[in-house]
Amino acid sequence: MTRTRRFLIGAAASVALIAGGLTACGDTGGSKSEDVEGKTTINWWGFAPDTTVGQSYIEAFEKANPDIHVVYKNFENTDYAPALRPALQSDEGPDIFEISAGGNVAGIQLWTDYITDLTSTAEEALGADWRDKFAPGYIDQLTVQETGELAALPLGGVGAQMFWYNKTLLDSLGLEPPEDYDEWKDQCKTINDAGFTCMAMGAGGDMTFGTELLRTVTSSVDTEYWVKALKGEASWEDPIFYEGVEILRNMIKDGIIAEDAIGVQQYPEANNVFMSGQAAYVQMGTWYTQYGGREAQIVAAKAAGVADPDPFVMMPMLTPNLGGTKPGMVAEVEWGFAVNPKSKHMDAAKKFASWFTTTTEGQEVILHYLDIGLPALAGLAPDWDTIDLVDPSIQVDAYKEMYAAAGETAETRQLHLSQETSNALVVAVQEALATNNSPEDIAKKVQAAAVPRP
Amino acid sequence: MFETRSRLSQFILQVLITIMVIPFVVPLYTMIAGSFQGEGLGNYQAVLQVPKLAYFFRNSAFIALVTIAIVYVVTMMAAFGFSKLRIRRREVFFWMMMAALTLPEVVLLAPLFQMASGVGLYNTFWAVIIPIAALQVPFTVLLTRTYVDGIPDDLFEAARIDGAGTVRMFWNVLIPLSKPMAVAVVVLVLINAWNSYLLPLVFLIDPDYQVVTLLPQYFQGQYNDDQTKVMAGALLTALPEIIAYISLQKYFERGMAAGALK
Amino acid sequence: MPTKTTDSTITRGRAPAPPKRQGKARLKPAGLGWILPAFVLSVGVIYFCIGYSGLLSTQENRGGTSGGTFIGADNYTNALTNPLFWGAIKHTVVFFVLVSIVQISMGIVFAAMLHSKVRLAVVYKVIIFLPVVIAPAIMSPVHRRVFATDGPLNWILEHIGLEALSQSWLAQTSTSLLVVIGVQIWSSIGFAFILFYASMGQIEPEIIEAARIDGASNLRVLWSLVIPSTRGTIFALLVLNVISSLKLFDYPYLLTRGGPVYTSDFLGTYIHREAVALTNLGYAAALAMLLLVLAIGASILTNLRARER
Repeated sequence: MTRTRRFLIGAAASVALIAGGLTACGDTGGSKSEDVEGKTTINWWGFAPDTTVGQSYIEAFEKANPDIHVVYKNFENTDYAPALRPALQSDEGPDIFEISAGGNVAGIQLWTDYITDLTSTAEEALGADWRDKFAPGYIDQLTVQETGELAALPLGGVGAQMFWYNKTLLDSLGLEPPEDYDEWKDQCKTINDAGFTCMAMGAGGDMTFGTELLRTVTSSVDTEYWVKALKGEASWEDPIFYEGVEILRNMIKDGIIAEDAIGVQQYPEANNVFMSGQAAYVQMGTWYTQYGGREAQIVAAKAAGVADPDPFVMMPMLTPNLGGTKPGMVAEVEWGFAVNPKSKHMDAAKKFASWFTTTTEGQEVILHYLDIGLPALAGLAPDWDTIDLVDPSIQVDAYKEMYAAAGETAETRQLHLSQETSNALVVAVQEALATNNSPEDIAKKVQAAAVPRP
Repeated sequence: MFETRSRLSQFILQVLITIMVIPFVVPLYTMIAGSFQGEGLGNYQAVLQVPKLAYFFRNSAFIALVTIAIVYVVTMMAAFGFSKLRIRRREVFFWMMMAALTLPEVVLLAPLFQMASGVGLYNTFWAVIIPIAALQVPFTVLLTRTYVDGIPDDLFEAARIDGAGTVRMFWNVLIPLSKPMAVAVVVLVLINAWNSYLLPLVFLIDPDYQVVTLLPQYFQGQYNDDQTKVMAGALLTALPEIIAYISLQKYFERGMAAGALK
Repeated sequence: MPTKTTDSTITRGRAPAPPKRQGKARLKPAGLGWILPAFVLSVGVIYFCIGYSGLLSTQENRGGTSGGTFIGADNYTNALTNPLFWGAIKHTVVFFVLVSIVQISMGIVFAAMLHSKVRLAVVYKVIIFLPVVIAPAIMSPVHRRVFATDGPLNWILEHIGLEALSQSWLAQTSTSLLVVIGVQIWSSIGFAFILFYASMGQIEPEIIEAARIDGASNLRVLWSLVIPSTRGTIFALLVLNVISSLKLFDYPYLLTRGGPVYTSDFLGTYIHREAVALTNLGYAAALAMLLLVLAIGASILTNLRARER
């Protein structure tokens, strides 16, 4: 008995000893990033921008606000929510995090329990009519509908439902961007015969790029339908949706997209095909503007595995008439900065959020990197002269036109997309491209699984 | 095992096994080739320039070492207990431990968070080390118990007659005799601790607490994904593990042989 | 110096007609304290998680701070009537059978070959085991490349005259599961190999020599002598495979996300999708509890079958 007890005590002591050693090591080893001489340190978590761009944002901010030090932690899209949720429940979460209008990466609906109302911050920065100073819609998209709280300050927006093309490649084959489906189909034959991919497409995985293509073609049948269906005002079991599914299927049959599109992911694979100059078209949004620059494109091509890339002229293309009409672009706030109510440096965090979103100085930093594209503050635009485009004589006008189209549209991208609907549509695209199930069958399953978000 | 008397049959055997390992080599080759595409060696330079890179390795090494220490100690003790000591309903205890093998990590996240924040371990290395160790222990106990079963009772009996208590039997008989097992435990736990991803991602939020598996994220953003650098980073992070394995290979084999599940 | 504990054990052990099972243990000191640290560590942590999941599984819980609402067994009935659940089970069974067959047979063949006279044996051993060492997260982009339409696998098939077999492996509902199975086999043969290599080392060379003198061929020796002597390893691998098939997550998630159209979906990816992408924590917990029951049931079943023999 005594022996057993002595042993148990010994065992407990040895575990405690290891524990003690570990804690000691942890304390000395992990010099926490709290202590940069005399500065307030705040932590920022996000799924965008890339770490290097984020670092450039921080440098600009710290230059203007020398008493604040910012540490950025970037997550892959799918890791963002699982890591952020427990962090916000704990007392050690980030001071600043990112919220977007919808979707299952950072959609506002996921974070309503963890936000600070930023209305007064916006009002202090921009005055009583602060709402009017932002691009239309952005503030509503980041406001919790039930309570009217402003969950995040918008950094900028993106436009989508458009394409990009490799003008250098098209020129070499004597082709012009298509006006309608049949023209596209015909020139894809020429492009494929020349040994290139017509449109690089990755509909695989759980990313929503395949869904966006389905939306684009469905909206070419009827421009109003998609958002109505997302909101629950129209059924997915609708001839318009059936036709969208058929067009998507035809795109494979007609050689516009490759047969293995469903086995390919938009990132990295389809992106690499386009960036390495092997494809004529790709479906991407305004964020692709960043690769129009010579330097950025060389970096992207090297990342795609090209040893000695030769930059091509990258041009935006609005959606051609694929199913009866030309749908415009969709656009919405890309993401905004939210402040953790448990932040121990509330003032610094609010300062960070408002500097980037409400000051011209901060907005210019964002615009310079072009990975967001549309500014949050109305009336601003990228300074094209400072960007080293491959062929400014044609690119600048085309980019301006694209930005104008994105600024005009009232149609949102993910605002009404619930997690359930998003997942159901990802599977619908897979069914459309990898099975022979009828459009009616596919639509029936979407209708059963979707959860409308009015 | 196969007898190859003639030179010809020896040659055939050699060719056969070479062909058979081709499928193992293809992905490894693809990985190495991929890491040199684009900027070539520049990919490795880019990885080496990631800020605080040393922290990634230091933290992973720390987690691995402590996990190994804990798993080793509790495994040896448990194997000794299960194999050589008197425990009522030992099989019940044993299978209760084995059942712990069955839960997938993703299920553990929510409860582990409750547990870790309840006892103030969230955002400490403990929050990662304890679950990894907990998930490894059943398997290492299974392996080591078989090994200890193979040590003749007479050795322990002799020690006891010489006046050794249980603790001394453990130190003077079991520990020296189970050295080969130690290497096997080290290798198996190292692999799992070094490769752990989900637990460090969720439970270590301090930027200074990053681990090697999170390194590729540095090159994967929302709108880009630099696979060449991801692969260079992957190779660099796998390297310590591979070197550790190759240098321990001989002893590891011996340990596995000793704990062989007959 | 014998301790009091041992003394009392001896006294108790001398009681008339001790039950058969205690016979061997009567001289032994108590061991509960020795298994306690391991037991507390793994059983403590994991059973807390099981209990927590059990509670969660009776709730509708969307991950907010307000917690969940009790809905009884609804999550379970929903899961058991969901074709996705049964699809995942079907894939698990196919996966378990194919992986076990190939992993075990290739493990045996490699182990036997490397116990023979092979030059540079250590190089082959390292190559075969490396896939076990490298994390799935690191290898999966590479595997996606290997199985790509213009990837090395199709290239090899086209160059050895098997063009007909070359296809878009990851894009088809008919082949996605095979890709996951193939990659899992790739990454797990090394583990089986090392176990078989170890247990074959235990076979007395004299026995094999004797069989050869009796005129047994290589294959005969392998079949009638070597394989039977590794039965324990085969059985252990089967139990481990049952468990790892049921909780499989890494490769299907990283390679195919369970798709296209759920054709390579497993319980692990299903649970992850519900818990992470759909924040349906209660339902995910119910799936996890079902997984637990299946895993324990299947392990016990395998164990009983092995004892019968």
